[in-house]
Amino acid sequence: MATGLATRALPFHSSIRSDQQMAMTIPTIPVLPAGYVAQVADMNNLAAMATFLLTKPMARVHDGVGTGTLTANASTVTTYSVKDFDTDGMWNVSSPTRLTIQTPGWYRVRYGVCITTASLVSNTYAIITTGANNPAGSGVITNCWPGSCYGGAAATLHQVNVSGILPAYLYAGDWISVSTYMNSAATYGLATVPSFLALEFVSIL
Amino acid sequence: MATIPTVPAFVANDTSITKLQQLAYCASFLSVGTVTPMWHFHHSATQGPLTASTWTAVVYDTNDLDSDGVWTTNGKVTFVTQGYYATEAAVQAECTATTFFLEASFWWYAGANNPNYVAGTQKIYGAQGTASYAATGADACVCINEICPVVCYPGDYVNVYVWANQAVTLNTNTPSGAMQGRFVPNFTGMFIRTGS
Repeated sequence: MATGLATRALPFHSSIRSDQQMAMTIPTIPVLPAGYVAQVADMNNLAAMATFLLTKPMARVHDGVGTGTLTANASTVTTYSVKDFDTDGMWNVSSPTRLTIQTPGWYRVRYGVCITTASLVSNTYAIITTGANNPAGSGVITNCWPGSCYGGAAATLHQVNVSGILPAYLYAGDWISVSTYMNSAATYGLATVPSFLALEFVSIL
Repeated sequence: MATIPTVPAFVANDTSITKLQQLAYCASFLSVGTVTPMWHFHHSATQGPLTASTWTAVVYDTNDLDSDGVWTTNGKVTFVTQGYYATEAAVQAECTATTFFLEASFWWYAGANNPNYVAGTQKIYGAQGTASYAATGADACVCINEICPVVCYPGDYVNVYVWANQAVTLNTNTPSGAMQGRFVPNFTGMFIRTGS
């Protein structure tokens, strides 16, 4: 008789937990070949997968100050001061420019940048920086998901809004930030919607 | 109204068909478009000219997909199932007189069932603003994509709002050149996570 392959501990199998989980355990998907009698661990692994997907890691932070400055002809990383939600402990006030991966996987990034200086073009991009657990080694940087916006002569502000799945599997300790390159000095703002950064877990493999 | 799944806990020699059905419903809730709360609306008629320098709700008059009964004819989404939602929208505008600045965002309001916010509390999220380029016959489009920053409860609602510093018109078929018919104002969204 074939044996089940599920051996991992099952931390989330009986009920949906609260919104404040830390470093969730990746569920093990059981293999159930023909003739195999499903074991209780197999069934609970399937249940754990359902719970994981219903309570997946997500975080959103935003700039609650809106007075930061951007240097002309240089890239400036956005600082976030307010946590909207963070189900996996990805944001830490001591590192306010980043969301740090706690549960490895593929993630979708969403970010926005609000500039309140008129008549400028902004170019934005998300940055992946690898941590110590990444096989590529620490400090490897990948820029991705660019955005651009033109304020126009009459406008007093402009905003960029970008979304996409990050182009690499992320390991615990990798972090995501957002940078903006301006052709002239500018100021962040709070108008309509402040700058923000959000991550959503999308796949385990 | 979709039911939030109950994830079963199995025990040795478990023979409960109810638990298997609960597990099957989890799979449906997470992956079947007619069960997962999600919607797709679009705007099929001309709206405007809009009043310059005034926020105006975009009318999404056509319901393409609505698995949870959230649509109303003016395009407002009224949430039915509690949870976190991702929302996306595209708004395209035209002004034949001059260049203009266009901005769109999501406007969320708490309803009477929300335990975290007083009814009527407003959250604006997911903005994009940009200027058109041409001096005349100008058009511009903004696409916004964001997770609503709060858990939505039944009775909470969200609209797409648009602002321009000129009297723009929202028109499915502008500009009249090569892009005609390709810009369609859309409003989509779906449940992405449980929350409270």
